[in-house]
Amino acid sequence: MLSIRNLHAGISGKKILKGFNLEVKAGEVHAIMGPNGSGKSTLARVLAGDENYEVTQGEVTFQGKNILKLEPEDRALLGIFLAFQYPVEIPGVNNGSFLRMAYNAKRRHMQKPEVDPLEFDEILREKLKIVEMSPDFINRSVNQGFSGGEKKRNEIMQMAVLDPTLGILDETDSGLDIDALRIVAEGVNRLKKPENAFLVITHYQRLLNHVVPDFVHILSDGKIVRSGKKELAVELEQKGYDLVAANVDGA
Amino acid sequence: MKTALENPGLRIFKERFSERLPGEEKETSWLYARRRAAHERFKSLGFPTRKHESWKYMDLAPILSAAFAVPDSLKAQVLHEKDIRPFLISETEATRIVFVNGVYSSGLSLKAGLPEGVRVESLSESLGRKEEFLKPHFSFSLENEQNPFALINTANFKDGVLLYLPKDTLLVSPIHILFLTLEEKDAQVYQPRVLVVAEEGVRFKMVENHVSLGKQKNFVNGVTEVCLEEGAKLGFTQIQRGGLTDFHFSTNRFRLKKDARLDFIDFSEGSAVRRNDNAVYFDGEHSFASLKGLSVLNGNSQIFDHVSVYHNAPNCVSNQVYKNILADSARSEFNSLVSVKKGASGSNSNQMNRNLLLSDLAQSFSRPQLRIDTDDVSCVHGATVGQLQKDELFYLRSRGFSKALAKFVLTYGFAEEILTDIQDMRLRKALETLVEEKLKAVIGG
Repeated sequence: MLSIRNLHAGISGKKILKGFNLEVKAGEVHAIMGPNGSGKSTLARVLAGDENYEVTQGEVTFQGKNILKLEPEDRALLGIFLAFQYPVEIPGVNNGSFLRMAYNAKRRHMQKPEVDPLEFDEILREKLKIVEMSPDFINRSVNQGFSGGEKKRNEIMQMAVLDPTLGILDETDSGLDIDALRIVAEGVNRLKKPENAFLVITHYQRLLNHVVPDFVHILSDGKIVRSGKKELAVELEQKGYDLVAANVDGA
Repeated sequence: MKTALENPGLRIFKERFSERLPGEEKETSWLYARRRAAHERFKSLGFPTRKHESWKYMDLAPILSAAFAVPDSLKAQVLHEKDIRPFLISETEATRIVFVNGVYSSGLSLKAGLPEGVRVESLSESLGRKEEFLKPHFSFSLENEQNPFALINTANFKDGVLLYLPKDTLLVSPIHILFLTLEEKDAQVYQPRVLVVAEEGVRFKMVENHVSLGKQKNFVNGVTEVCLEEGAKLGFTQIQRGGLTDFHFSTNRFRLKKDARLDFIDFSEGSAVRRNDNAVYFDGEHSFASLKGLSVLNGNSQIFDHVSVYHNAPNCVSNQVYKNILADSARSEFNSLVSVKKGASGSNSNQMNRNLLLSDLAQSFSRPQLRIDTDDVSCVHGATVGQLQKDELFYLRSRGFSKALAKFVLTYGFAEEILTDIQDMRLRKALETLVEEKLKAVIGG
């Protein structure tokens, strides 16, 4: 589904990703772990099409299509969804209409008829349950005045509404208390299907207790230095990044 | 301030608008005296130059040198309901008063279901009836008037609207005033005048809707005076549409007695030059005034929002929020002065101006000022100028919004704060639609 080959990317002339490779198949959950500054968020942003980042080398294909030249909205319409590490507050824009506009953009792309506010309300009420959010979230401005946990739950709710083929979670667990973490994780688990895949980017192992990955990759200085099964995350938690990375060098 | 400028255009302008006073014979003596006083004051103030603080950013030369048609030549236009329907704010307007090219149209005006004693009528008709009770209200702020164009209107206006609401009147639906100017061969000058007197305890809403068609560079020099007696409450929406080549001045003067409340909103689509000049006089304790402005400008449109709030009584609250969305080479100025008089303790004021620039060529100037002569007051002010944030745009686009739609949504979100206060849902919806339409024209999407 997703194939990243020799990806080099950076921001403002600073090189961050230096030859990143990854293959993701449908039905898989991949965890990308790494210390601060290793390039985790850059990867997420580059995949979603943030224009602030420049790709200098390499190739990214999604469902056989080279996506690096595509606008962020075109990638979204193809089924890529990024749950932001720091979701943006949008004053004056109602959460419900925001979600409906996004949902309808996707419907248009799929050449399906758009839904009106009433129909959408029903869809939304179902999705709210997934992230245990109260219906009054619908009428608040997007993320404005939301707590950290509410913002992250809102990201998962957007993901639930848009039902992506590839969901990228950029440190969604950061700053969450244990309850919010559980809700977020359960949300992801409920969205998992044989046809979609998830890229879970995280600093800590704790989210992976709830969202069990098929593969774990360790990112260091812009490339994957080790890959393994879920046990790798546990090892990482016990030994720390330095030792695990050292292990690689010795191996 | 006197000006040395004496170009032929200015001379013609002065002759036309300030040397001749109408109505000596048919009007009451007090009205004529007021016109003369306005004329005298205008002569002592003179036309402003750009050295004058309040006129620093405004180039008056195009107005003063324009060859406007003689306003007397205007004839009443015969229009039908269907002709004005596209310009109405609401399909279900029950009370409205319509002026076409400055001339009152009784045929298009509606006064169904007004309570006993409420008057919605042509101002010249009521003034012609020598109504003494209007005397304390008409041009109440003349002696303090700094805007020479307001004085010109007082000296020269021909007609306008009188709204009179007797004690304790409660109106649920807004009173609509439509000033429609049609396309004419030559540029015209219109000087609409509105006088609103709301007696004790009145509660009502009004909409002053200016629509200009055509591209003939009209000069609209309007004055609206609002007198809210004790406990009276008014929601006032002023709208300026069309007339991208017009010079459009709206001078509003508000006097609030004890416990009165004003909620004013101006929405401007943009003219060559639009000046929205508001002054609030707090004349009694515990009154409240909210002044909000929203403009969506493109091309070379310019808006000048001038606000003066006089806290002449203790414990009053004034709140200003002016927002401008500027595309292309549009410009805005926010020039606001809050004066708190000695003894007006417990005064509370807020002056806020926010500008969203959609182009590198757009400009905004912001000058909130305070003059405080007493203790125990709370006065806050602030101004911001910004552009759409890249990360906000990216966030929306990552959800499948096209670039244009993302821009539209963020810009609308910026504007929305001004509209949320409108209590009348139908009016609010209508205004939301106007803002959306204008934004779509400016941004696309």
